[in-house]
Amino acid sequence: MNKLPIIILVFLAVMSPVMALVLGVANISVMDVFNIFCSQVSDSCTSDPLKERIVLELRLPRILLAFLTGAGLSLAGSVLQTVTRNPLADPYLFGISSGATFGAVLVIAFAGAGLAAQGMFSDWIRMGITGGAFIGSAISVLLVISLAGRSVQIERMVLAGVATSFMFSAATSLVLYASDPQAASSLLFWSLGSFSRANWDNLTLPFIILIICFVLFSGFTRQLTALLAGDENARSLGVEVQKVRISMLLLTSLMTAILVANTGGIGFVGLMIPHIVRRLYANHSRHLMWIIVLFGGVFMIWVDVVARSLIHGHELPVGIITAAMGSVFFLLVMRRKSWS
Amino acid sequence: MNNILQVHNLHWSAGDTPILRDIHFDIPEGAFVGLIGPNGAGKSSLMRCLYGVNKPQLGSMVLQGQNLTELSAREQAKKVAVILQEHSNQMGLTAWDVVAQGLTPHKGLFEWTTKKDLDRVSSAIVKMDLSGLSKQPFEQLSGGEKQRVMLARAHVQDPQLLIMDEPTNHLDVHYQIEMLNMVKNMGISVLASIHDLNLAAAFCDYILVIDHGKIIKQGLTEDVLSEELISNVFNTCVEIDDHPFAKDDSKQIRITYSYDIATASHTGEQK
Repeated sequence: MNKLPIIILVFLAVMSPVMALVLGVANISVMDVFNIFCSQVSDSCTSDPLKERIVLELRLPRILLAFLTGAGLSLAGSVLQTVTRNPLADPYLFGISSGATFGAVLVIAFAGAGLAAQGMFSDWIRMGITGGAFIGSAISVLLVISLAGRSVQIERMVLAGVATSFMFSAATSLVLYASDPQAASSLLFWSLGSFSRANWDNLTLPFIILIICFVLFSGFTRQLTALLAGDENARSLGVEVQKVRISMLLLTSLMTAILVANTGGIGFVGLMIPHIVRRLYANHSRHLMWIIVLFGGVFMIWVDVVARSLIHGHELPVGIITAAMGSVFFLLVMRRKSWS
Repeated sequence: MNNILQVHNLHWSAGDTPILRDIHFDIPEGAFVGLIGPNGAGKSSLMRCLYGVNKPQLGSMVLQGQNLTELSAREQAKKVAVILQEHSNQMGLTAWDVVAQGLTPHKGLFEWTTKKDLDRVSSAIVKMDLSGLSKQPFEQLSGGEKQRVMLARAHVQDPQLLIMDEPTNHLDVHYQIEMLNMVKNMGISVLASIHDLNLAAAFCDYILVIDHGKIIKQGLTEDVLSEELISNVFNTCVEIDDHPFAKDDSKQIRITYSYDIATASHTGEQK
């Protein structure tokens, strides 16, 4: 097994957060970053308080949230693609993200539009957004499962997911349309995804859910791999196909809901990253889950760097960049396939 | 010879439509049993009952003293392995990964893959002559190679009974013979549905004939495969004689099709 691609990925996973701490509007060097961290553990190092605040209170939580979101959405996409044997599956295709976005937007619109416009959420509103996102995604999952029928057939599931996704997208648009212009602008920015609201408090839940899901998905790796062989094959390998499929769907929806509640809707990551990883790391299938998590996390850190550096003094919504990259990615995949 | 599987009074309906009725048969330990019958006779439905996809409404399927319907999916999979005729593309998994799927029923949710497990997979790969292909994506293998991968997976699964649903479909003559020889050499009890009656005659120790959801004849291959039975069941004229390449101690037969549709005058009373 060629270990070089793994070594490169681990190196990137270590270096990307450091680089992302340095890159941005405020001029902060690698040495500054070293001094800031050194000053946290030793009195012999000194650092500029302003730079310290930028690095520790703004950039670091933001980078960590970006990493957790990229890792979580990629993992969710990978698991959904596996349980449905559909390479186009991701949390958006099943309406999970749309449901979560709708739930969160609804809470913001009714409870905190004024605060949202200022980018400030109180703790209870933040909890309300997470709760709204989870309820929205849970409703979408229940809809998908009930529309898919008792046998939970994949084709019906995908169609039900697409229908649910469109329904929630329409409902989100309606809320945006009905809100006052200032709040609508803020809601729109939120729904397109951003890490600008990252702080140490809202890292806990995404971190915990990512760890729980990662551990559970790792435990189910053999069952998930068996599902790739088809339902009948998986059953003959001892997998309770419907139970596993529904459990995985619920877990991915919970993880997506928590991530969406903290970052807004970020599409295409769950779809793109597992594809890229399967191609680049074809002979590392036993470690694919680790690789997808690291790759997704690193990817999102750099998307966020681009989002806050592309236009000087302005921040682009992350969802716009991932959607643009996603469309180009698909055109490239199509072109490659038509050549082959 | 002891029977490894005893199926008794099995009934299965798809919704309100009865598909399998009053199925009785035994599979002797170590025997290669062929299941033959026309399209739609109920071969796949019967096999699906045995590997747990179809839930019979009535009857028992006792494998070495345990009723399969009372076992969990995992316990069933430890005893019964399955090779189907169609394969999913496995989304980029390599041949090695597919062979390793055979470990699934033997490992708990959070159980690590041990060195012994890896050796088991490697040994199955060597045994099925897949060493050069183990890193190839499964979807890029030929039909014959895919079936060898499935056999290796079944080997890793280490079952008491191997079920094969038309395993030689889509294979050329070379791969058909290679596949069935490999199965024979595994030395485990096998139930295989086979369309090619000459292959069934050559490889099966026993034959079950199913038609309209009922087992209409069962027994030693040479006793079951008669001109009258084949003409009646498949509605096709045939002639049966001794196989020209049969070894001295073998009673292998050769079935020749006349390429005519059987008529009542040829076959006697039609079904």
